[in-house]
Amino acid sequence: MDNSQTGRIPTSAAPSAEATASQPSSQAEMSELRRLLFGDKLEALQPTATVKAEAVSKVLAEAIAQSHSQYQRQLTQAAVPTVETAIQASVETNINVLSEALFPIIGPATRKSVAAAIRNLTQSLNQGLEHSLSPQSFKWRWEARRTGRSFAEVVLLRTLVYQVEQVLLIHKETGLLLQQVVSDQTQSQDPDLVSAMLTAIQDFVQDSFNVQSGGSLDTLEVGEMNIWIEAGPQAVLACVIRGNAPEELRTQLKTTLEQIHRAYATPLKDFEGDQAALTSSKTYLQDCLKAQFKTQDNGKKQRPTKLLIALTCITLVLGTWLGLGLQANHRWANYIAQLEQEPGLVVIQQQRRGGKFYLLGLQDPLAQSPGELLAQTQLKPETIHMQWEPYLSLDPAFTLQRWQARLEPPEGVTLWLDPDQVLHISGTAPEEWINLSQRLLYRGEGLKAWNMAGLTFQAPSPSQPRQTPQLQPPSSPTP
Amino acid sequence: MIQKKVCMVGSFATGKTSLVARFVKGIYSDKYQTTIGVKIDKKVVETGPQPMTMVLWDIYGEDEFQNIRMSYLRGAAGYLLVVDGTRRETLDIAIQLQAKVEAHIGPVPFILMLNKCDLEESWEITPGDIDDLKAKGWNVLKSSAKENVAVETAFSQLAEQMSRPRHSSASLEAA
Repeated sequence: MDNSQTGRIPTSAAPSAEATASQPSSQAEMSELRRLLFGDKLEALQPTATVKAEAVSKVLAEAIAQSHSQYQRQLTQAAVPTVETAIQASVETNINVLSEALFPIIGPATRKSVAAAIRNLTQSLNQGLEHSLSPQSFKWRWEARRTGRSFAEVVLLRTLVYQVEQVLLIHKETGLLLQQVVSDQTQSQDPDLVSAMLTAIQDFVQDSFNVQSGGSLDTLEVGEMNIWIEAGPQAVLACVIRGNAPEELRTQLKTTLEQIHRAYATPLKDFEGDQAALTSSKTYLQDCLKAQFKTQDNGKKQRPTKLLIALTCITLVLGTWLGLGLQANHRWANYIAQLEQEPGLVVIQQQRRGGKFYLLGLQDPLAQSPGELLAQTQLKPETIHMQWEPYLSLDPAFTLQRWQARLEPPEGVTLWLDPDQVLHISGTAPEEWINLSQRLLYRGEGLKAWNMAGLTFQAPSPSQPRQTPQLQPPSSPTP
Repeated sequence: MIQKKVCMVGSFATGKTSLVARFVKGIYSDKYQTTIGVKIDKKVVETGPQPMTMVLWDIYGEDEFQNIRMSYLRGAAGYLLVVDGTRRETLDIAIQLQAKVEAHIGPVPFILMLNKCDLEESWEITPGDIDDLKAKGWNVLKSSAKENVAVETAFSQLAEQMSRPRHSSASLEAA
């Protein structure tokens, strides 16, 4: 072995290219030196793969912790593919492991999200119900139609004390938008343009009024809109507020801005136009989307009294109308029942149509007048249309009445009709009348038979009265 | 989405607002409207692997009454230096402005636009002037907002330059 060659140390600093070329030879020289010093024990001292792993494992945790504090971004970026692959592999191998791990998080997160959605929906419904029937509602409906907004949105706008409609996180140096959140049911302007314009206004104010270092424009008021601005070292938080917000909101803005500066110190410092690193900052901005409505002043919930009154009125009107209708129906039904019980009146058809009653029936000339019966009810005659056709009734009362009118019995003669429709004639009558009656009774309308057994001739002289024969009408009397 | 702040810089009535209107909305109007303060516009351009949103700060023109506020240029990733070819003095002002801007925000990409090339027969700027500018390493384009000449090209070139890693030349020098 040539010692002079191995012990040769470069005497002068070589140019960089030369130094690179000499590196392998330096390593060879170092190996040679190790061999000379340790001889045969060198092999045993060489670190094997196991020894290397053991040594690394001792410092791995510490190295990661140190790397996290110094090279957080690089470490995160390096770990992303491995973590993603690991999660994918875990899902493919056994989905239950990850499901069980995420279960405690997913449940509350879903509940929170659903509760928030329901709360918003309930609030919108309450507002809508509260104001849907007020006199103002017509004005608001017109406004909604004119401005192209939904009615619910206009109601919310007109009843709120304040609402944060838009929160913008702006990069202080460039005026570029970092992130933004917008409340539901609001129309927001282009956040990129708003961010830049707010920054330009800030610059203008600071230049024009020689504002002391650290001072900045913190409020802009335009009509019912307010823009609150909180400036931090790297980022600016701007809130577009409708209405009058309380000072507590200002504290909230400061807190949020501080949190963002703490959590995103590096991305903010290194920002060159890529928003991706700040996507998760939206969760902080959501905390600033606050609102307060008039109906919930002092935590006291008002009942929709106007709605209740309106509903009561509608119910009363409907109830009265229905009640009156039912009452008229009931009276009509009673009237029909009365007509049907009345001898000599037959109801053929009846119905109610368009609030009026129609009836078609048959009426015996001897029957009671339906008009008189109607006058006894509380039905309005103008709502009743009746048509009566004449007919002859076989009711016993009418039959007797008709035979009395036809036979004109003299004094001392009695006519009566038994339930079997047999006409009984009794008393004393002149022979002529009896003969005439027998002829008239021959056809016997409405009678099954007639009986003159109780009738005696009125003798012109005081001789013994003659018994009259019992006559029978035809087998089937014509009614 | 990558965003970049871009400023329009130049003397008054050189056509900065018209160039922005032509680029963003594709329109041109002969009616002159002086810009007071700043007007903001934006346009998304396709360059490189992902699109870029250019937020355009159209700053009022510099004249004998007022100088441009350098605070408006803070954080700009690039700018267009606009010159009216028919007025020689606007080029002198542009050269002064470029020095001021670079002193304020550092060496960021910019393009010198010799505007109103539809009126080239009445230009006061000579080919010799243009050669001098190019000799300084400046990117010079003849443009016309009225006839839509080189408007897209100018913004695309600027976007392409801005999308390159920043201070790459400085870091090479340091290495």
